[in-house]
Amino acid sequence: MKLTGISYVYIVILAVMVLVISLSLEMEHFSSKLLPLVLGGFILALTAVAFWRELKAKVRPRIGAVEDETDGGGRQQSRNHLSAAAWMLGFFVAIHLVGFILAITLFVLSYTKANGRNWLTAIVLTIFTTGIIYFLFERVLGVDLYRGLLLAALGF
Amino acid sequence: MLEAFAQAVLAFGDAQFLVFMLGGIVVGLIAGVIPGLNGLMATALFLPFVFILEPEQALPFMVALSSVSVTGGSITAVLLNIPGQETNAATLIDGFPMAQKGEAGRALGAALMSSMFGGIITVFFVFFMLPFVVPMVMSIRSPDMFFIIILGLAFVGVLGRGSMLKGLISGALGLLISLIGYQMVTAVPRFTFGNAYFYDGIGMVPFALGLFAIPEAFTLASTGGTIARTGVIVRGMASVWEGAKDVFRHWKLALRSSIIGYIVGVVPGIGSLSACFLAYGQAKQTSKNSEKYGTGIVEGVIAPETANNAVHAGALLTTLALGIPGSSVMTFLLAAFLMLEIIPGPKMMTEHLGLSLNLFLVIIVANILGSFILMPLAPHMAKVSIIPARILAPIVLAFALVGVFVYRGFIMDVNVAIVVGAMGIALRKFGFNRPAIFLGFILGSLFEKYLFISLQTEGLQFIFRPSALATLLILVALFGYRWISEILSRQFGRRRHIS
Repeated sequence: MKLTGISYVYIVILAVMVLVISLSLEMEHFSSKLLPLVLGGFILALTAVAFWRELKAKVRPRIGAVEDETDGGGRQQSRNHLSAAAWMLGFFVAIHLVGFILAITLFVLSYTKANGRNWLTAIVLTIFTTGIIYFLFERVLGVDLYRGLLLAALGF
Repeated sequence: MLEAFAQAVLAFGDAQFLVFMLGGIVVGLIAGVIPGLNGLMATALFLPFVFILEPEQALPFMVALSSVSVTGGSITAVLLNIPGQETNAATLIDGFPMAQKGEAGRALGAALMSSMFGGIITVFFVFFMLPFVVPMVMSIRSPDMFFIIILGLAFVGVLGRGSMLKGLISGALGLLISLIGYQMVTAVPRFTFGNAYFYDGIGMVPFALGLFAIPEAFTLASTGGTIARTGVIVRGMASVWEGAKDVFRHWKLALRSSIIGYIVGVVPGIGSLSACFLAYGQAKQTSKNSEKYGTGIVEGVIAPETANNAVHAGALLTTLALGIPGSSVMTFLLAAFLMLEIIPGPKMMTEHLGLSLNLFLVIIVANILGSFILMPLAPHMAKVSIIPARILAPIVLAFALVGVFVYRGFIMDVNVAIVVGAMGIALRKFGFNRPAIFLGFILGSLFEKYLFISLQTEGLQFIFRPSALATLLILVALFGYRWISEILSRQFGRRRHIS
């Protein structure tokens, strides 16, 4: 049986709830474990019902349901999602390595350019975004934005 | 009461208060005009700043922003056939055909004036209801609050968009996530895995921005393209004023739509979108020209635009009096209150009545200023929505993650926001109810607190209180309503969204 995306989500929730219940049972006081057990059990039961309904619905296809998700549009959408996720992950890693200001500069510039904008637009947008963030947070609010592991190692 | 009212009015004499309120109006209007950057996201992005502001600065900003963002959204609905926010979706049914017929100015005038009408008149509904609400909320005790939280979560989960099961799972997941950290009675750490960061629980800001702003940035990045197409040109202000006058010509319709919006706002979880379509539906059903709806008539603009602004005052009343947000955007306002250590609930109607009344007055002023600012600027502001989605995406993401860091200065908060963001993307894709998760999360500690106070003061007897019975009856009615509407939807072979 081929499972759909939502089925995998239900399986993850079920697994997490089993873990939550087992961890709750080991907690020291009744007051501590009461709500985690009740909520974990409640979510487990509801998710099991939803999962079962999803499996049942798969056996009897719904009228008008999209049968084939591997068409060209679906593949393009998946590519777009993967691309967006990769950019976001890259930005996240850059924040950790070189801190907010440099990461934002690199991210906005490269992202805007890679998405078909000309250099002028990309540079203006980068200066605008980085400038506002730097001015607002570092200058006006006096917040020391995270400098990143590399810059910290270099003594900045 | 009069003293509180005087205190509420006098706050407008403070320059800082006015600056922040005006700032909220401007940000709200711009956020409303840009499709993809709605009032909900703007409020979420502002949440980290609440920590560094005083209540008299943060609250008028947030209330003004959320009050007028829906007004801004009507501009693109009329001129570009794109709702600035989803709550403007009903406006384009008649708004854009009016614009195509050369009546763009009239449609805009009607949309802006009806937004103002709905926003203002419902505040007077609130003032009228206050003498009844205050004694009622003063009689509420901890066990009642426990049941009110259950009801609030059930309303948001069950009446929210999509599957009822997913709605309930979402609310319960939010409550469960809020349990991470030290338990308040026993000081036992729960689900912390020995990591000191989690001892105080997950922060409200990383959770909010992770759940809402990161999935929005992801959608903007993966959707791409230009949001707007070529718009319709508005020539002269005369037609705008003509549309504004139309609202007073159809004042009965505007009043009926305001009442619908107000009731929808008071009941948590139904959402502004339902209010617009309910108002549009009643306008069509009660009209002598019902066949003309959809072809571009001004009544089709007045009804939904009145209703979507009318939701706000009712939603704020429920949020302040019961601590249960009446709409998605109110969830962030509730979060802001908790961050400012002001706990919404019965005390807001007694100890903080002046502040509560002041926020209602902010709704009036924001609606008046918002509409009058937009009337001459509307045709020009529509150009803002030509900004491509892929240009907005990195800006939203950058501000969201910086906002998360600024909240407490922990880089770990950014990591948590990213993890919650990934979860939010999946939950959004598979139709889970994110407002219900967030509501469960922010009400979780109060839920546990009221549960233990009730157990300590009344023992298990507290589940036999009248409020428990009332909760049970309402829940049965709620589930019954949802169950019947799902059966009816299947019967008619079409999927019907409740909100």
